[in-house]
Amino acid sequence: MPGEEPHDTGWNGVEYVSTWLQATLRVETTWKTTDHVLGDLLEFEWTHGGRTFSYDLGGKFQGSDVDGQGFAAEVKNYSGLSDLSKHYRDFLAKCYVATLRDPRRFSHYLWVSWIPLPPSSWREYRTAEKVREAVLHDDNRLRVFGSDDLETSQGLLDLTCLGTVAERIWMVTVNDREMNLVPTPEQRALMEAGRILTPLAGRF
Amino acid sequence: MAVETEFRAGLEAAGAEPTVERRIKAVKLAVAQQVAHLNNGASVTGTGFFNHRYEPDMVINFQGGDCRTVYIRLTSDPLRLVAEYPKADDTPMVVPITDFATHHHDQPGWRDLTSLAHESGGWVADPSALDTLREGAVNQPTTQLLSSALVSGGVGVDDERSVRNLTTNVEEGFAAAGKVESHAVEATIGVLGDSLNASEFGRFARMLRAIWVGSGGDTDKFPAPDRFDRLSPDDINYLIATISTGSPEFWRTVGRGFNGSLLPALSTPSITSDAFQHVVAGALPTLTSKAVKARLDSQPSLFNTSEPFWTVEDSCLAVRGSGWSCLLAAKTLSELPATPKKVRQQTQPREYGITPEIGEARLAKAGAKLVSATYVDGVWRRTADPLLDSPSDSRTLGELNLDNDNTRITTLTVSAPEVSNLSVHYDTLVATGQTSASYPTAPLLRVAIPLLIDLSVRDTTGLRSLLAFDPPRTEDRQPTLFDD
Repeated sequence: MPGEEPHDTGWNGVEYVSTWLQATLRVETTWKTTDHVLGDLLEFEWTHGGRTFSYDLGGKFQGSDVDGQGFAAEVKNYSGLSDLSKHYRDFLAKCYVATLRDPRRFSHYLWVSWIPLPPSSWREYRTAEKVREAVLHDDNRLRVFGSDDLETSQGLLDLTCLGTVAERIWMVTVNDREMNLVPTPEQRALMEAGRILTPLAGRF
Repeated sequence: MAVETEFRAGLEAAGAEPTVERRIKAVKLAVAQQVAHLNNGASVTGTGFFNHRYEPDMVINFQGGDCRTVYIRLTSDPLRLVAEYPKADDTPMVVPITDFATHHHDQPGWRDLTSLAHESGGWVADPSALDTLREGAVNQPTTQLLSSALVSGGVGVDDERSVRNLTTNVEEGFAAAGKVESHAVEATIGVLGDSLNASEFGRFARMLRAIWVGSGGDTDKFPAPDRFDRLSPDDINYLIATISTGSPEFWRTVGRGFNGSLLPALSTPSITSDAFQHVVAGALPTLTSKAVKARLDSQPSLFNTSEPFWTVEDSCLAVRGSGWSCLLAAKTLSELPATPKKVRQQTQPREYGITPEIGEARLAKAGAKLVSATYVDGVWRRTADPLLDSPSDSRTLGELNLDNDNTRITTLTVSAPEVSNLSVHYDTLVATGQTSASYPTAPLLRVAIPLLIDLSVRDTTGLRSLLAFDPPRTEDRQPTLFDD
């Protein structure tokens, strides 16, 4: 099963994001690709070619208008620009395929990185056009549409899905001080006092 | 390969559910049921969180009001468990839903995980550890007790192998306590000290001490005698609530190590349990009492069809039979419920007193020697003083010439082995000795109950087994209803 392991470079980033999201008190659960029982829900098969991809992190929000909604996150803990744009393009293609395969599994796709994407086209990153560009890119056409031909692939585009994916994208840029902006243990204790408990198992 | 158990089947089935929500629900239910099985007195409530660093998946609520948080983890990799260790400031139980690797001690992070668990007072137990405890607890009361103690206050990291070592050690320790062998008991105390928090460890040690003492061991020779006290009523309540597999002998041994005067302080669930009967039986040989008060039910009771049994009434240890009960005062008469003044004033000796014939019959049943009798004859009262000077062992009420039909005896003073000069007062239905007298409870009841109450055949048979535990046999003793 693919995924970040503790000895992998990216693992610290995934672990950090997982902890940070939970510390915000707005997340009921998170899980990783390597986790039992839930890990496989982060995995999808490309539309063509039989290969699979997976997200780094899955989870569920709690509270306000996103209450109970699932999310999948791609975490890029890079300190330099590297090939971040290429990774983002792949991320969009993955979100397109994941939405086609199971539109209800994840209502949100989080792109989490330590450095932002190039700001010159910042307004375009979360548009249907950007998703269209991504899935029609040379790197993705074959595995998304089963054809290397651009025109053929364009004819197979699901325009609704492009829009849906664009709406579901979150772009989150974090830094190592993010944990200073979560509730303190004292604040958390106050909120925990109102914790709602439901019976799970009685006396045996 | 791990044996398929209900717990594993539940976890396995969770992975086959189609949605995140259903998988989470299935995992939580499997873990909650496993935890509740391992701690007989626990109920488990769930939170809205899952696999969270800050919020538990569930909370175990123990009898007595204590609770413990449970954090489910979807990995058994020690390094990841360290990273994902609960951050809340409590003493968590962490349940990875897969087993640790066979050679986990060599894995990176194992040492850190163990340290973290000990430092936080947390207990990390994989499915193999929990299943091993559950399997062992089916027939073995000490493992049942250990399971509960670990769920409540386990510390450290456990898998199947470590749990097997622990259960074996505890069983050996309890067996050794029963044989008064200090070396093995000391070893068990050492192991338990590393595996349980102070509260659970203390209870376990007191339990071992109780068995040690109950098996004839000298208190001063119990390992670290200054550290451990006697079992408290709370301990007994916990044991009775926790252990469903204890044999009568097990409970009698516990009773032998318990301060019997504290029996009335036990909780209602404990008092109404089967184990209570055996605990009292164990405590009985060392139990002493000041007085007995009989009470006759004014209305048919729910217990009318039962054989006599031990219970607690009005904060007094009591024997209850068909339509009656006899309450014991441990140290002072004031422990007994008072007879209402109104009732005493309105009741005439003719009503509460017994006839000489009945007195004769009761004396015979009690196997007691008559010392003196106070009786009323019409409007006057006299004491059968001449009897006190008589050397005869065969004095009877008949020899007192109490042949008047109107004669009613109001007080009988009798003696029997271990029970000298016991006065049975029929106005209050209280049997007591002289001011400072205190009696071994079983002999006292053997004498007092037949003198206070007209017993049915069922009562007589039942009392025989209830009170004939280790009956003293001396040449001086007369045959009684308790002898075959």
